[in-house]
Formats: sequence, C-alpha cells, structure tokens
Amino acid sequence: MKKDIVITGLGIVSSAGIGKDSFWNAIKGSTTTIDKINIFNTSDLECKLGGQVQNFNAAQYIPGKGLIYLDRPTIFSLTAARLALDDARYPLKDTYDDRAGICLAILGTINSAYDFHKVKILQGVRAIEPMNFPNTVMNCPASHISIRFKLTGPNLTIASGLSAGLEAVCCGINLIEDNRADIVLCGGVEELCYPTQFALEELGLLSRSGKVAVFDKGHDGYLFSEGACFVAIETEESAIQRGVPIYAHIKGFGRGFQPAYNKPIPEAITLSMKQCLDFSHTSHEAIDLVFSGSNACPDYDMAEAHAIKGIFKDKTSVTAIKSLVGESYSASSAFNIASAALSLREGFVPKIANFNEPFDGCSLNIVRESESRSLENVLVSAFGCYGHSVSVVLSKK
Amino acid sequence: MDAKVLVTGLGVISPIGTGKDLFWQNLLSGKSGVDEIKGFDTAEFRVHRGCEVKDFVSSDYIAPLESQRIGKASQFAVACTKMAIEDAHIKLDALDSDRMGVCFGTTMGEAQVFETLTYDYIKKGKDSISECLLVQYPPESITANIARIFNIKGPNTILPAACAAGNYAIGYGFDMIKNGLADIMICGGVDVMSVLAFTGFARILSIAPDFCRPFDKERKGLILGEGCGVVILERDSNLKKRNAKPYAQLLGYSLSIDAHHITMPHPEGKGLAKALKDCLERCQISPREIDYISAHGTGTVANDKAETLAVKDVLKEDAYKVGISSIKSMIGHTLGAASAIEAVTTTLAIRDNIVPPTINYKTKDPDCDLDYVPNEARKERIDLAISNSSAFGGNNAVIALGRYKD
Repeated sequence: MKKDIVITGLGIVSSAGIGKDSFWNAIKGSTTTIDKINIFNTSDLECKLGGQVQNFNAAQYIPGKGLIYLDRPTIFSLTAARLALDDARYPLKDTYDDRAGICLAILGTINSAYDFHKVKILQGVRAIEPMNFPNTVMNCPASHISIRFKLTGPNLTIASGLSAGLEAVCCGINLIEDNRADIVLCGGVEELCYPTQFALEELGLLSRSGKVAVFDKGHDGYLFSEGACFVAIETEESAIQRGVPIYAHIKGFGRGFQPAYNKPIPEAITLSMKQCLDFSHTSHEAIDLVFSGSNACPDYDMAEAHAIKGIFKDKTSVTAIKSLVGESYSASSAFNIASAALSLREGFVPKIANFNEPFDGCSLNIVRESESRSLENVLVSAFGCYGHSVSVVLSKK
Repeated sequence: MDAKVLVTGLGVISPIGTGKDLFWQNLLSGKSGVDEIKGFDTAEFRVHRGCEVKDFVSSDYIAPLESQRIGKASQFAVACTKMAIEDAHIKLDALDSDRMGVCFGTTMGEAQVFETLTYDYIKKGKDSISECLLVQYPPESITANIARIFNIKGPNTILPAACAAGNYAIGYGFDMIKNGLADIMICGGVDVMSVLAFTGFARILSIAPDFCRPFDKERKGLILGEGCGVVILERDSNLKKRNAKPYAQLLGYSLSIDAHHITMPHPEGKGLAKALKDCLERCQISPREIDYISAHGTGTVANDKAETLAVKDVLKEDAYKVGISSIKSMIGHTLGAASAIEAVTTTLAIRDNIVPPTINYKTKDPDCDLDYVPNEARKERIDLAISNSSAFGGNNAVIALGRYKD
C-alpha cells in the first residue's frame, strides 16, 4: 500500500440495534439477531424469518426535514454514516467538506423500485408520486449522505454483489492514496423487503431449518438481514494528528475474479486471499483468524472451505458472523470487516453460532467457543456467485 | 507507476447506429435518433418520444443460448465489448487474462428484467416467476457476464453512478492500470430503455415532448434513450508489446458531488466546476489548451444553464474559444451509457479532428452563451478534449483525453 491506512470509526445500523455496541454485544454474546419478520406480510412465504432493523428515531442522527420521503436504505445509510463520523470524531462542518468521501455498496433500492413500478402497473402513471422517483435510483442513498452532511468529496456507489462492501474499502483506499479525500466512509446497505425475500426463497437460498449454520453439516441456506455499516478510513498520520483512536490497520487487500454464473467459485476466493496476503506482505501463518464471508449455503460453504484449506492448511482459526447476523448481501462484508476490527481491538474471537459438526469434507479449524485472545492479524473474506471475491488483512499495528 | 493509459478500442450501440463507424458517420451528419417509442405503450403519458436502439441483433454478437440467460443490458454490454475487443485487435488467447479487467457504469442495471419480474408477479402471480429470470437481475451479473464470455479474470466491478456512470467506470479503469493491477481495462456504460425511468422522468416533468435541444432557449427537457459505449484502456507498454496503435491517451479524471439536491444540479454548477477544475489540475492542462468539450448537455433548463456556468467558472475567457457540443441532441440521454458513448465520441473527435454538432439549436439563450457547435459538425484540430458528466444525486465526473505522443 502506498499509505498506512487505518480504521478510525464504525457506524452500524443492524438487526441488533443502532450503533456498534448493540451489534458487537450480539456477536460477543452469540445472540442471534434474526426474528419473525413483521415489517411486511409473509403469509405467502415459507420463510418468515429475517433480521429486521427495529423502528428508531432517525431524526436524532439525520439533520433537516423531509425524512418521510426517504426510503429505508437511505435512512439506514444516513444513520450509519453519522454514527461512523461521530465514532471517528470527525466533526461535521457548517460548510461543505470536500475531503470526506463515501463509497457505498448496494444491490439496489429494490423495494422503492418495486413499489414505484407496482403503482404504475396497477393504478397508472398519474397515481405515481414524483418524489418517489429518486429513491428508485441506486446511487440515491449515497447521494443523500452527501446532501445531508455537506460532504462533497468523491462519492461512489458499488454494486458488485456480496463482495461489494470490501470493494468499497478498496475504492476508499484508492481515493486516499490518490489524494482525492482525507477520510472515506466505506460500507454497504441493504433492506429486508418482500421482493427480496420472495426472490431469495424462489432461488432456494433461504434456510428451511430456520437457522444459519455456516460450515455445519446441517447448513441449508441463510436468513436475510438488513442494515447498513460503514467503516471510516484515513491515513494513520491523519488519525494521529486528529488524536483519534485506531481500531485496526489495513495492511492490504486482494481481488480475485473467476468467471461464474450463479455459483461461487473457490478459485476466485483463493486468488483474492493470495493476492491479499502478498500485498500485505503477510504470510498465511501470521494470520490469527479468518473472518469467513460464507453464509451456510452449501455451495458457498464448500467453495470457501476449499479456498481456506488450500491457503491456511486447516490451522488458522475460522469464524463466520453470518450464522448470527444473517446474510446482508452488499452490506455483509462491511459488517464482517467491522467485526474484524472490533475483534482485533478487543482481543476477542467470536465463535461460529449454530455449529455442531462440520459438513462432510470440511476440515477447517472452526471457532467453536468464543474466547478472549490477543490477535495480531486477521483476514476478512467476501465472495459472491458471479465470480467476484475480495479479501482484506487487518492488523493491530 | 508512470504508465500512460491509452484508448485502444471502441464499441458503441446507440439510437443512431450500432457499431462505431455507423454511429460516427451518423453523428457527424447530425442524424437524430428520436422517434415515437415502440418498445412499450406510452398512451397514458403526456410524452411519447424516445431514442431507442433500432438495429441491434443480439445473434450478430452473442450465441443464442447465451442470450437467453442474460438480460438485455448484459447483451448490449457483451456485444459492445466484442466490438471493442475486435476494434483493438486484441487476441484474447495471447493475453494474460488475469491482467485484463472489466468495469461498467449503469443507472438502472437490468431494468427490463426487473420490470418483467414485477409485471409478471403482479399480473400473473408468484408461480409465473422463473428462477432463470431472477438470476439475471443483479447488476454485478452485467460485468460478470462479459468476463465469463470472454474469459477475462482481472478486476471486475460495476458502478451505478446514474447519468455519470460511464465516466466513473473509465476513472476506475484508469486507476487499475496506473496502480499496476491490470494492463487492459474494458470500461463502459450501459442502460436499456426502462419504463420505470421513463415514468419517473415524465412525472418530474423532465422529458421534452419533441426533441432534445441542449442549450437552446426553447429547450424543454431530455429525451430518454438507451445504448452502450465501451472504451478499452491499455497500458502503453502493453500496447507496444502488441504492436498496436492507440486512438488517444486518457490523461486523467476527476469526481465530485454537488451535495445540493437529489435531482436538481447545483444552480451555479459548483459541483461540476470543481470536478472540471480538479481534472485540469491533475492532468496539468491549462484552459486554453482545451480544443473541445463534450457536454453533458441533457437539454433540461437546469442542467444546461448550470453546466454553462461551470465551464465559464473554470475556463474564464477561454470558455468562449472552445466548441462545446452535446450529442444528447441526437441520441437522447442514454443514462449510464451516456458518458461512455461520449468518451467514444471524444476519442473519435481527436482521431479525425472533427467535432459533432449540437443539433436542434435555433434560439440563443442569454444564460447559455458559449459556442455549442450548432447544427453542423466542424473540422478543427483536436489535440485535447474534455468530457463532462453529471448525474441524479449530484454526482459529477470529468475525463480528459489527448492526442497520444509517443
């Protein structure tokens, strides 16, 4: 890396609650954040479980009027952004700040687009509320962050799927190294909504057993969980100058891509991990813990287990937070890197929840019991089913 | 790394022609791609015109079995990539596929897939929804499909930066090469005609009833279009190895955001001005060196005035000495494809020393008092050009292209 980049702030809106503490307490207590869905009608769905962000007073985090016109992904993003900036002790100015950037990963503002188009189909064009149109465009949440908080640094939206949250981190690093920004909020957001739940169920991705059991013999899919998560990154020099605490150092990252169609490819994960270790100048033996990106879909678990085994030889401890907090698509790898940063800072190794025995052929060194242990280097992994994979190494110093 | 980033291949699918040569010929002749929309029923709208792609036949570029399992945006993107790869004389077998990557921009992604799924669910019920269609929806499938079909294994991502997305993708590709992470980047922008987008723009009264008249006093809004543009970016040392010739050099790019309003640009164009100023500084270009500006020029009252102010703010008196044309006057607003197609256009302007016109220009607007190359293409030496783009949400991206000097 051209510069020493560190994580100085975390902003989390999740089904565990608002703020990093509720999220981290859930991880440490191994308390699932998944529950019965009550934000939409699930009567015609088999899977009625998901991770919901409970109603909260967004006005305490988001300045200005008109919150009622913002959709949930935007509200989550704005709140998480504010939390990350506050956590990084980065003051919001009355004037425009062109040194603060945003890199936000998202699949799409699916519910807003669905509702918009549904009105057109059922009631006609004249019934459409014009103010709802902006919410249908994918870069809307990120743009609202800039508008509300007067942040005029570079603003990117990234839609490369399950690894997009870590891709956002890579893009943020690039912005800082290229002197386009001094601080960047990197993260992701997704919304739990009927269209997404229906689609995931049709695709056979949702768990029928009602739990997410990553790498377990009984793994049968995931439960979808909404929320937003940002990590604030800046140079170490900047953090020291500002006198703010550092969660973790970003030692390096790697991208792997292998052609795929709707199936995760272990070679992509292997490539991204190898590239990441090379770039970080870190040997696999120096990695104390791998934060898996897998989600209890058998194909996903097998792909990542294969990659991890190939590089880490079943020695390195492996954890996976999606067993507790569910799958959040574009936001998931942001939640994962935030967890990794918290683990490093506190010296805490979270167990994989719902794990009893490994699936056939899995010989990973699974964290079965949470423990306090000093960690020096951790690797965070993210990958999807269209060939994308990104890995990041975080270190204590 | 001190690599130079060169433009070595071009591909385009547009409302005035599929293929770079037909597109360019029609652009220079001032051909309009506007017509009554045929792809969906516009009876309940007050506006009825758009810029649809008329001559794209997917089987000319993509095997039928493959076309059946990818959405329309992916088909455009794959076909356009094929054109660009051939245009660059790239022999895929001879290259290291890990050193070649793909980055696209889009506004609506696989919009027609989404709209079909929504319509079918509502009108026919949940049992009508097929898994085969669902897997075509995610935006990441667009760049993934390109990489899969051409076996390209380098960096791969999609940036939905709305109407500035093409330039965002080009900037990403620029950085991948400069940072040594790729030798070739296939960068593009794509959007297909979207009923949802048409509905939205119509409801916020942004669509013109007849033509797109950028910078004209009587301008009444944009005309929605569809299409795809691809530029292949390549490291200069790699090009030398292939013994191939570049079109132009991508000198650099800049990003900004207005932070003003979710749909309206900053009234004084402050965000775009910042991106333009920053781009010139990064590329060490002085305003008087600019020979041509490809405008964002949507034809809305707000954008064209703001863009004019932005250009004047940065270029000062030199703003009056440079031609600024908007090809949206001919191909409409192709959303995520727009700045990619404009990058193709700007590259060809450098190659041929000719700039395309802004057509439908009749009446001067005191708020837009620059030289918009009205109605006729103009021959002039183009060594250095800028392409502006601005988006819903206030995102701006500006790229600078120059004649390559070895």
